Amino acid sequence: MSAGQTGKQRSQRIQIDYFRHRGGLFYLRCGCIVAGLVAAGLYGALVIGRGGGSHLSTGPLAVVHVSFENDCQQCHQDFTPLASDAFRIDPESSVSHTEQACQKCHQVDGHHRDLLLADWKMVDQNCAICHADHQGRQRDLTAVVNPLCSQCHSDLSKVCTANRSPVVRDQVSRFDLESHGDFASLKSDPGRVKFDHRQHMLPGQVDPGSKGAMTVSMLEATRREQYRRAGQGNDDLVSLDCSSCHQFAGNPDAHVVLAGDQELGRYLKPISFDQHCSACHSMNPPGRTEDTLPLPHAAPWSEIGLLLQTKIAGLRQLGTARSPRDDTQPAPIPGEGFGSAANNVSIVSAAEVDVALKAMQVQCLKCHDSASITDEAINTALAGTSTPLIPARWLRHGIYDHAAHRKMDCRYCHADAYPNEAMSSSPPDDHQQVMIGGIETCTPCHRPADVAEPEGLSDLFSGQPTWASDDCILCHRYHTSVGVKR
Amino acid sequence: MLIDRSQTKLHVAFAVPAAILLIACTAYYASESVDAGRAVGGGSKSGLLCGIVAGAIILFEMLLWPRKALRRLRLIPAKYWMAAHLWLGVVSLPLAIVHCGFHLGGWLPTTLMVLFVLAWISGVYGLVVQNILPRWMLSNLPAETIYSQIDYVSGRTVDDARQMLLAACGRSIKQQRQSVDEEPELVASTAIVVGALRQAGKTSGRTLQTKSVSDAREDAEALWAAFAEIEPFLLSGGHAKVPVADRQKASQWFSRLRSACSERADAIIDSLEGMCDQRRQFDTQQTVHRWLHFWLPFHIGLSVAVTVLLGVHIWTALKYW
Repeated sequence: MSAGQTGKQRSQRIQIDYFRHRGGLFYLRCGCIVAGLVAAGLYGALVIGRGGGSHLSTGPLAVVHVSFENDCQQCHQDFTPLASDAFRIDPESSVSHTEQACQKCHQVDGHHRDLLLADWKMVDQNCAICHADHQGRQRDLTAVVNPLCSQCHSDLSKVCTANRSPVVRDQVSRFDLESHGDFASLKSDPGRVKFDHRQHMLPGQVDPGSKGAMTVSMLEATRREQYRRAGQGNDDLVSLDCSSCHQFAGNPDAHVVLAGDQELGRYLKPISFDQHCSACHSMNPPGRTEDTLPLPHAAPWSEIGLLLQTKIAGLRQLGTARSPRDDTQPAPIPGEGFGSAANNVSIVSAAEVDVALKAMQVQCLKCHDSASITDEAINTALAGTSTPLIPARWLRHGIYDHAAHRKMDCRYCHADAYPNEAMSSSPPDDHQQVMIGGIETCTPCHRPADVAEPEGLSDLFSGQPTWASDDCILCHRYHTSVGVKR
Repeated sequence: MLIDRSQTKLHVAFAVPAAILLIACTAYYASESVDAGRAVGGGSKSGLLCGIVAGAIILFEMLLWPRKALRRLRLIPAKYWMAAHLWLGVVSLPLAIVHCGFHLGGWLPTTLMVLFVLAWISGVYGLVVQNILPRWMLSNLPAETIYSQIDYVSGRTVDDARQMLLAACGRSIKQQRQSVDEEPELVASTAIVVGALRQAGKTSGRTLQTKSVSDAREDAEALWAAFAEIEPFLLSGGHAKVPVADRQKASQWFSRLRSACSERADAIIDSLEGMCDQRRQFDTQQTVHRWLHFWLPFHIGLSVAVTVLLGVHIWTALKYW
């Protein structure tokens, strides 16, 4: 370039219309826009066209619902919120749809819905509040966190009508004596069977050194093996422990059935005379022999009377019992001879039966009060319409799982059922005393995760950690079976 | 868009409301989650609010496109658009994450979130490089020119070098043997115009200067041979495998050239060395330019995809709420 060039020539060192030229950046931008539009558009069309499935799911369904993973309409209705926390324009129909969707398979009743205020009725109705799905395959839909319970129970006066139960505390926000309170069901003992736990836990069921100790040979022959300890002979003393009478069972209470409450081990079998008492306390008629069948337990007195009558007559026929005026002797007595037999040995008078019945009643009253052994009481008990003499469930508002606590020594919660010096001279009062520990026996282990282990618990589980969840659902169930009132 | 003290008022005017919006929505969400005892989902009142705000921001961000297409209408100064685009875009991602309830969900929301995160990251990357690289170029690349004109300017530089050599040395023997018609018009002159470094304050730049040329005919063969060697580099930069492509090797190469030529050729050699240095700066500029601008097509493409999928997400989320 010569020095004499013009300004125009100099300006041409840059193309004056350079900005009109579209370089690679422009074409790359166009390509990216087209690629974005096409790819996203095709994918969107695919999603809408296929109707959702895993493309729309906010997360995998829990394993129990996996069969309709790709069938959204099983639960969802178009433009009707189902999620527990969804904002709803028409809440009543939306929540009702949710409940209907769940009730297709899960028929359970609500939770005191008749006592709830209108807004909270819908909370009760909205299954998804507590059972939110789409949280992953391993999500336990029944694992309900405490805040979901305390949203109502922290102040029931805001949630319920004035007709709510006075038994349930208005404000419960955590599991301790102060907030939760002690177990209301354990305030009094509704039992009506006289039973001395202490005495039965002693070897031979008598105080040490006393006469009349029960040996294995004194048990019903067919039941001896049930109570014989390893290495015991027939002359050894019978030694009982808790499991001799208490075996694991599901919820034995027919009146209250809580969802999921019938699993084996949650409760103990109801005490049954035939299973748990009769080996020692069989109801024997007079003149009993080894072959004599015991009388039935809890039979109407008319039936017992008839059985006694036939047994007495039978015994007379066998010669092991005498008639009232039978003074026959096997050898002649001087001046009297062999005596004279009764005229009709097969007839047992009513007076004779009454005497036998009274003897039987003495046996009954050893464990029962007089009101419990009337014909009426026995008939209602047999019909299952009366209150059991021993409660089937002691914690009536919650669930206690004996199986889960089987590694613990029973006396941790039932200390009063064991022999101790304080009880040695007292009359048996087990039917007046609740022998179950209160909330103070639960809270040392069932505590918030961030609370340290209290002193003295280290031996409870042989040195293992003692922390256990304090979740409400561990003991309480929200639902009942359909039609069952709590 | 630059973020520096000169722009404080502009950025504060948008950053503060955006931060307040984020804090308010997040606090509302946190409050509802604490009450529920878990992180509530996108369908909850607070989750939905966060989602609506995030979605509205995404749509607003996309308005930058029509605004640019309709720039002749002068719809609010671009700096306000950019500041709003920047700060609202920054808070949109946290809002979207809160809206999700901190989990990705199915393939559609996951794809949408992944694309959105990529678009957000590309935008933040663009913001960072635009605040760093231009300043660096201003101080380190004084020979910088218009990116699209690098090849053109390089061609003119080669012409300048040829003119300079012709003025100083005349034609080489090889050129004299070739047909004159094949060569461009060469005008013998004692002065030439070359690019030279000028500094004004802290800023330096390449300017055109007229320099006198001394007679270096005795070194004509050496200079023309040197020019022939560096010409491919001057035209196409680092693609040419020549010693002068590397700064250190170039310095040694030109030192040897000076020692092979007389002192009268020094000015010519200095100019040739300056031209090589300019070409190396052009190469660096090309690399930096790619770092500086190539994020934008991806940012736009991702944003377009996000907007389309956002529409699908809104429709399907409402349908299967």
